[in-house]
Amino acid sequence: MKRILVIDDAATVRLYHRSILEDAGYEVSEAVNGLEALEKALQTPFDLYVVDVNMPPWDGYGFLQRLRLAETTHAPAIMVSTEAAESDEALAYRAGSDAYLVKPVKPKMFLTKISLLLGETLV
Amino acid sequence: MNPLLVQFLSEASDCLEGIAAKLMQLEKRPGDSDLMNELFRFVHTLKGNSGLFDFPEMTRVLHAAEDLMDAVRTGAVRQTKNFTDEILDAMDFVGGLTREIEAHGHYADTHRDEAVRIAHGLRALLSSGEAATSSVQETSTSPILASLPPQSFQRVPEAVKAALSNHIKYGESCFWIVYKPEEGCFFQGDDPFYLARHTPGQIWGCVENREPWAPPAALDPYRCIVDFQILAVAFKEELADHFRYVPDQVKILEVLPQWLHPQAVAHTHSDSNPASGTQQSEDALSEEIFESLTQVFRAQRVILEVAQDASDKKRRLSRIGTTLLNCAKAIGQPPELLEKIAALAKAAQESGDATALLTWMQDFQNAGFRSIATAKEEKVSAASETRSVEEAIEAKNAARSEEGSPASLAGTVAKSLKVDQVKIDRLMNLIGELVVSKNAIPYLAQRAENQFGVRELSREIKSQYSVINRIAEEMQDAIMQIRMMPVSVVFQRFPRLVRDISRKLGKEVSLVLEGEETEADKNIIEALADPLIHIVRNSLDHGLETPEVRKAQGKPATGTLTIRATQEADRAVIEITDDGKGINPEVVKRKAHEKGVIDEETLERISDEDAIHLIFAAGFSTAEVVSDLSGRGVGMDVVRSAVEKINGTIDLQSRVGKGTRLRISLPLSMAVTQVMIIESDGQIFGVPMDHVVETVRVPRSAVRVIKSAQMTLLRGRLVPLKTLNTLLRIPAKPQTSADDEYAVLVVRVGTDTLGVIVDEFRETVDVIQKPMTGVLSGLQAYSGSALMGDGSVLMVLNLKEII
Repeated sequence: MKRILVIDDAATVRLYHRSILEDAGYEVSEAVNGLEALEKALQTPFDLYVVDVNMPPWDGYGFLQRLRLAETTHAPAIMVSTEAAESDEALAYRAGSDAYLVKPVKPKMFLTKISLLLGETLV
Repeated sequence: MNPLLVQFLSEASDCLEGIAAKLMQLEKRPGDSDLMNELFRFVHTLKGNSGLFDFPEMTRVLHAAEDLMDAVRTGAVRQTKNFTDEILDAMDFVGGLTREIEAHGHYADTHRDEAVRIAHGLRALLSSGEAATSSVQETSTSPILASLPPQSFQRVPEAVKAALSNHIKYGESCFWIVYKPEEGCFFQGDDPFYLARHTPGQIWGCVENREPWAPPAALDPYRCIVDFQILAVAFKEELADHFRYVPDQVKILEVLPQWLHPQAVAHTHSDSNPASGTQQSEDALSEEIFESLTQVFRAQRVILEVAQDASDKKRRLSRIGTTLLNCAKAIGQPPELLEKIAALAKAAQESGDATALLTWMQDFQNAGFRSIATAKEEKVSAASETRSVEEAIEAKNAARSEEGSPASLAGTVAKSLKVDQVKIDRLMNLIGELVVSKNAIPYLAQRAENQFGVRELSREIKSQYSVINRIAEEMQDAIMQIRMMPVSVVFQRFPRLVRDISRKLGKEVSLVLEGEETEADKNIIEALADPLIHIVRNSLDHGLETPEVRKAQGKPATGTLTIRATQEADRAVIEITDDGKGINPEVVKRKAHEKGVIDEETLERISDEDAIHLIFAAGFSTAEVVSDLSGRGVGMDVVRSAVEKINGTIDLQSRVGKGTRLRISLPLSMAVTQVMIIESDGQIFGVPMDHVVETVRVPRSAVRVIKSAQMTLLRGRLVPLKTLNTLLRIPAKPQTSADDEYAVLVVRVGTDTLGVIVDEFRETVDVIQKPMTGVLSGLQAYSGSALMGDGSVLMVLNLKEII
């Protein structure tokens, strides 16, 4: 079973993502900020990361930058944000995200993207 | 209720509390950027969460609040008293909705108008001053507009479209603006670029040239040949106002839902709601894959564009290779193609030149990702996109470097768990039972020795008992700690309350809160809330004077109300002090007599100190005019009984013209009661240790009888005596000890001290007191019963009732 780490400071959003992902058969862990996420990711790397942008003390950019420096194999990350501006999207890619979705995510889109990034058969 | 909704409500209540607290602090420290950021984050989280559900009214208000707060945070709009009021109003509205959701799972659909009004109020502050938005009306009734999107709309990135669809879903008006400046506009003093960039509510924009650019040498810089396309979430009036000098060059079109969903005919917000998770048909899936693939491919190009240096580019190329391979795998491409991708990625990584890879990506995309044969055209004008992305990154980076780097690694995160209170209560009940049942063990040891004569075993049981006893006590202590809550939980609502009430009454009050970290059991804290609010209201209403009166008396115009919590031994003490006009004992006496609370005789004899305590008597109100704040129905007697219900005591001191001080003393916990066991007429009873002052033995000769009352002199003080047997209507006479002494339990009930004659004292024990239920609940003489270690039942006396 693929393992996914959901990082968001809002418990409701975490639960929302978790229920979508678990229904699709992923194993989900949670972290409330970038710091906790990095600790977890360094202990046991995950197959994919779903990252919120704005969460003190470390935001999603900070987490991704450090993750990308520390990890040995590349695990895809999806950044999820309320901002739709291209500038925010570009920042996400610069920090090391592989995809960008605007909150609230649509379950189908969310899962399709994850499957694409994980190379799971879709058709 | 659906667990997501439960989670939402719980988090929402935390956020709302946080918002109220931060707003109050912010009023004291305007411009504090940390506070502002925290405040913003609460609203931001709340808005994000509400977006998961179909609560358009709530999201709409929160969205407006978030925008306003963001503007205040960045300094674009000044923080005024109005700002606080508007945000508070908005949060009250949201709070009301959450309570409705809590009760019914949803809220009534009658809030739309109010939501619109509040959102307008917030947005009006946002465009503060210059633009009067008073006559703005709902734009939901759109005039004759083209139902087809303009050609350039296809250039809008998917992410922006997704956001746009959210805006529309929440009933916000979104507009597509086409601004075609005249060629000679520069000579008329126009600045088209500036005007376009400052469009209110802009979420996306692009520039198109009308004709191919001439070579630089031949270019006429004084001729404007570009058009602007802008997407904005704003009111039409706002936009019209913004472009008021160039109305003939601007077209403003409302964005219609069908622009975003060409197939969907009627698109209501309920079916696009992600939380409802509607299943979509089979062919819709391939649509999703196509869209996702397009987005992922586009993302890969940007990922490459934003590489910082050569080595970073190599790392990025490796990532892109992996992603592309995974995508191809996911859509079931043949192994040959996978090999080709791998080879291309590897080559690009080694040479640092990604041209071949990018070309392949474009071809593959243009071919509709080959095996997915949904004929769809994707027009990506890569050049303009890349340019705008680069610009955006520069702008953002500049902004970010000003803000400083992210927090350092050293910042530790407090870990805590949220547990359902029912679980804690269950654990506490179990521990309570353990505490009581372990009390049976010493009896067992005694029986082992006395009845069966095995002294050795008895000793072993006793030593084992002391181990169990220690663990049980520690467990009890631990569970109490879990249930402890700081009084700040109750205190935090006072700044708002005091502010609102004093404004209403036209008084100036400064509130001082002290000792907010003092802790007590959750039940105590919760039971404390209502009496405290009532006391504070009373102080504001009857205690503190208006600024004019205060000045006339030589006091500062602003009154001070202090609420201080402290811990004294095993009790929490809360003092509410004001520097108002105090309580006039003469007025109280007269009123009490008028209302029939005291008789003529008492009126003349009563001391001033006792007189002011009359305000706690049932049906008493000293207000000359009954205001809507303190109300007529509940008086201080309700406060007193609420405090006494949780075994608290209340004391009042007041000086006319100087102020009033109320002191509430509360037990830290009420789960376990310490009771003293006493014996009378061969029966045992419990007396809560809270009431017991001391135990004394009084010789029969020292008991005096004055009229029909018994009393004795104790260390120079006259203490009235009552016999427990008489109080409980037990006919037997009290017994004296061998030395002809009475056993007298000196107790304090309210403010009175008196001695109760019993037959014998026994030990004190910790018991879990259970209230009297069913038929027994009518027995006022007992406050409850408790199970003893030997299995017998101890009746705990309710001294207040029997004396």
